[in-house]
Amino acid sequence: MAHSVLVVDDEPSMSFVLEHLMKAQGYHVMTAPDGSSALSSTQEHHPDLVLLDLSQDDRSAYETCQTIRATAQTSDTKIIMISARSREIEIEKGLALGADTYLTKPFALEAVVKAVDALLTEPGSKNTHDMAFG
Amino acid sequence: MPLLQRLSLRLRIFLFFALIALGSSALVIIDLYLALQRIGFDALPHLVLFGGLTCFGILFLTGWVWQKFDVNVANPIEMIVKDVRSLVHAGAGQGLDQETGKYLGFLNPAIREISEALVEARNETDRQIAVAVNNANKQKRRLESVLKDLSQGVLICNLDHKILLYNHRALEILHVSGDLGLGRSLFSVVSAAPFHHALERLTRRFSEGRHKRHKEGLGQLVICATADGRHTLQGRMSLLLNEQETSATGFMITFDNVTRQLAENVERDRLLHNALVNLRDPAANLQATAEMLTGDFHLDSQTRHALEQMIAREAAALAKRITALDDTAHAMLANAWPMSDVYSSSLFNSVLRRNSAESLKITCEFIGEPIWLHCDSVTIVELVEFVLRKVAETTGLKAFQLQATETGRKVYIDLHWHGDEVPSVAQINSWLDEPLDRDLGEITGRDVLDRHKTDFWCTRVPQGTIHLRLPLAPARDHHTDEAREETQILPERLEFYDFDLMERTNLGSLEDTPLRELDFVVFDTETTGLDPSGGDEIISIAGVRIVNGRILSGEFFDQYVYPGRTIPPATTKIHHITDAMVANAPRIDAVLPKFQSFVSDAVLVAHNAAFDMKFLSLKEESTGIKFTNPVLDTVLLAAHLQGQNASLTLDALAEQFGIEILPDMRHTALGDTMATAEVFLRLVDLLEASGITTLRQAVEAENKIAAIRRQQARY
Repeated sequence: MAHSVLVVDDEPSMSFVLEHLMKAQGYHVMTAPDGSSALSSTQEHHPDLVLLDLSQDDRSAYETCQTIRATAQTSDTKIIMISARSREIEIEKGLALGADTYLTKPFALEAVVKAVDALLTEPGSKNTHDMAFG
Repeated sequence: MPLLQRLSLRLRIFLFFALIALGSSALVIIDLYLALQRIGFDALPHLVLFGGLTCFGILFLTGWVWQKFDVNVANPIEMIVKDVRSLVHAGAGQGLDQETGKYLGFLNPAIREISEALVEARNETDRQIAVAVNNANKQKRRLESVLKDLSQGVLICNLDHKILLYNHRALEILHVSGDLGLGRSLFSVVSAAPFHHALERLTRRFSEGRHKRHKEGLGQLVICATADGRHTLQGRMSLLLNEQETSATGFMITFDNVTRQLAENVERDRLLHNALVNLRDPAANLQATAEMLTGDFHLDSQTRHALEQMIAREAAALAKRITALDDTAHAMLANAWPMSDVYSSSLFNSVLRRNSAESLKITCEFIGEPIWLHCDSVTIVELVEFVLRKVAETTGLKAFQLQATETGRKVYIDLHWHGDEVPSVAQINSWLDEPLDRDLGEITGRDVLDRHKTDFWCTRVPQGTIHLRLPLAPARDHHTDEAREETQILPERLEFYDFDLMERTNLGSLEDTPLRELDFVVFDTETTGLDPSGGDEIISIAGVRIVNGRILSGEFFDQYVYPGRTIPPATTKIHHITDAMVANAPRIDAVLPKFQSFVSDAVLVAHNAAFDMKFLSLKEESTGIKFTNPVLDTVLLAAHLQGQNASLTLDALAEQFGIEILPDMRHTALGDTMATAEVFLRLVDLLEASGITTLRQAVEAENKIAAIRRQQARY
């Protein structure tokens, strides 16, 4: 059965691109425009992976990440944080609060595909920041 | 009537009654004499008898009335006066007993009431003074703590440019160029011209009253170099006024070392310029290609495909340049913090001091090794203390651990505690939006984090504890173990200020300056032997400053000297200094200039000064350093006060004055210096009591004793 991916993005154009990119990879894709709908969606549908891109609201991005990780039913969900905030401290905070991978913008689409594949096919690879694309 | 007023009340009343008695008797005698002339001298025997009886009656009656008046009125009034006096001056009055004061009506009870009211008022005043003193002390401690933790250097000087106050940071910034000390000239550490210029402008602005509408008021930007020219300082000079704001009494300077910052500004400008140039090209290409694609240009499919390829290429180039820019910019931003290096243990101690000041019953254990880090310690202390308080309030816990760890690129301040719930990002964010402390204005925790380009978060660590992690920058400078020791050696409460110096005028002639107002450097040397002319050398020299009658124990000079010869074992037994200890020490020609800079224009004091001065004078030729300062000798001064036959050794004088010399400090240059300084201050008290109050008088007294000693030595 195909893995399910939840695309959380507050920018419609990036949401559009990521949704189609994931669909093209054969994943079952859901979308959410903000943190609270992302949380209810993870509770309800238990996606295998969350692509979390809340660049407009970084506080909400960190909160959403921490809550997904802290909630018992969703604590195993893989999380990739995508952000235009690229300072080392921001990456470190994202990873500390539970993200498995932190991607900084701008990025190549290939980088997202590789990161998602890596997390969904190799369950052991946690807490990485692919600096090659950062 | 000055004479009468000096007599006691009782005597005056007695004289008053005596006057009445004698006056009345005189009148009777005159009357009888006149009567005698009218009725003839035959009646003389009768008139003498009646007159005598009448006068005796008058004297007796007046005497009786006086005696009653004296016992019941005059004496009680005198007793009351004495009582009121003792109450006013000594603070204790008994009040009269009922029997003694019974004829004085309400006077006695009224006095009693006044006494009681006065005692109560005094007690109330004492209580209020105690509260005020306590508050003043609290504020003083607070000021000291703020000054200590301030990331900027602060100096306060009087109009003679003498330093009255400095903080830790000023010491850190300026000790690189000279020795900073209370009562010493500002210009021994910084270049003079910019300060003269700024001070002149400010005093002129003030005297012409222009400061009231000037946008900088009584302040002025100052940029100057340290005395050695190696560092650039940027700061602000502000004129300080007297209480009535009628004249200037001094000035304050707050400053930073901007040497590195200036270099970084140049680098940042270069980066910004390059960034703009590098981003313009791909952005222009993208814009042109996109316009071509979306515009009305009737492109064939081949051209369209080529343009699409170009967009992908230019977008990739743009992304690559932004990424490259990112790395450089982050490294630079991290370097741009206008902060200072702090030792984590002193940071944590400040947190704890703030904590105890707020009288919270939180215990905090410091774990791990202390580490140097780079931050603005004032706001970081406030932030950590604030967060500690918030976590304690939320969890109800009182026991925490603080730890600093280093990863090379960062230093982490970790707050650990045992708990069930990890504070959420939302909760932490709400804390960070609150103002930290009313004394810091409206600064929030978020402001402090932003200023440090950092953030913090809470997670559960594998050991089951929760930790709150605050990443900060590592120290910029290399701090050796020696530097750590130096920090630890510094007494907790250094003498960092002395505002009495504000009142000083230019010393001019030192001779007639009261001893109490002079700056002294008490010093001592340890040597390879007792024969300076025979080749013995100095191996250790120490000095400590006395300003305004206080030993500034934090401002000392202590230096081993390489003597260029071996130290005889016999003298090592006395001072415990071995060849190995001085093997890497600087030679005397490198030490004396530093010592002279430390001494500046102070009066030199030593125990048996002739011995030490002989060693120094023999080095004049080879080092070019000549000490022309006035010299006082504690042996000669003590001999003047106590006689030639008294025991005048340092140990004897110290014992006599109750000064304790730690056994392992005796016969070290610094230990002996400290003891001599204490002895000297006691001698100054005694000299003043014996009428010797100025330097000239002290030197004269000393010279007399020296002359007597020379005479004795001759025979």
